[in-house]
Amino acid sequence: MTTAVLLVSQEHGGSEAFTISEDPLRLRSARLSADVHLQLQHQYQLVREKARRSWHASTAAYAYTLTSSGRELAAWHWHPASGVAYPHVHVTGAVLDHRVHVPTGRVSIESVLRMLIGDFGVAPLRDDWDDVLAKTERDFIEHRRWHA
Amino acid sequence: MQAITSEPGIMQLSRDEGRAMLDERTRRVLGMTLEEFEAAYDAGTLDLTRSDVIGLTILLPFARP
Repeated sequence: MTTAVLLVSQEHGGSEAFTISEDPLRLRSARLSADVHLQLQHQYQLVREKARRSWHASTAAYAYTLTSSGRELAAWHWHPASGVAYPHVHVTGAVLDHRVHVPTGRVSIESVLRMLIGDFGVAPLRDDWDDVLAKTERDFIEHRRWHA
Repeated sequence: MQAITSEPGIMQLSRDEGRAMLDERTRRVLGMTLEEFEAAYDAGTLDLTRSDVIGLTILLPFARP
C-alpha cells in the first residue's frame, strides 16, 4: 500500500522503537471521499532467551492512529507507563469521545493494515499481501507472552 | 541511515538521525523542539490524554537510551 519504509532506532540494549518514515502515512481510500492517514509508533525490548540462546522482541507500548480530514477516526493504544495499563482503543462516536478507553486485546499492526485494505479500500502494492500479513501475524500470535 | 536486513523497507537510524527525525515531529505536532519535549516528559507536564503526544513519547528511544 506504500513505498514508505519502517524506521528503526539504533540498538543500545534498552528500549527500541520503530515508526513509518512518512508521518502521517497518506493512503487513498476507495470508501472515503478523503484520504485516510495512518500513524504508527511501536516500542519494544529485545530479550535474550537463555534456554534457547535466541532473542525475541517484547512489545513495551504501541499507538496506531487513523485520521481523515483532520479528524481522528480510531486510535489503538497500549502505553502502560503512561497511565492506562490495559490495551484499548479510542473511537469517535455519538456517546464515545477521546476520553473513553475502550478495552481491547492486544492489537496487531497486521490487523489494522488488513482493516485498511478490506474496509477502507486501500489498495495493496503486493498481490500476496494477505499471505504476508498472515505469516507475520501468526508469528506475533504464537510468540506473544500475554494477551487480554 | 542503513538497512539492517536483506528485506527491503526497514532502515535503522543513527542516534543523530533519530533525534533529527523526532525533532521534526515534535516541532510539527506540538510546536516544541525535541529538547523541550524531553524536558516536559521528564517533568511530567505533557498532556498524555492526546494520541499524538502518546505517540511521540513511544518514539523516545530514537532520541535517548
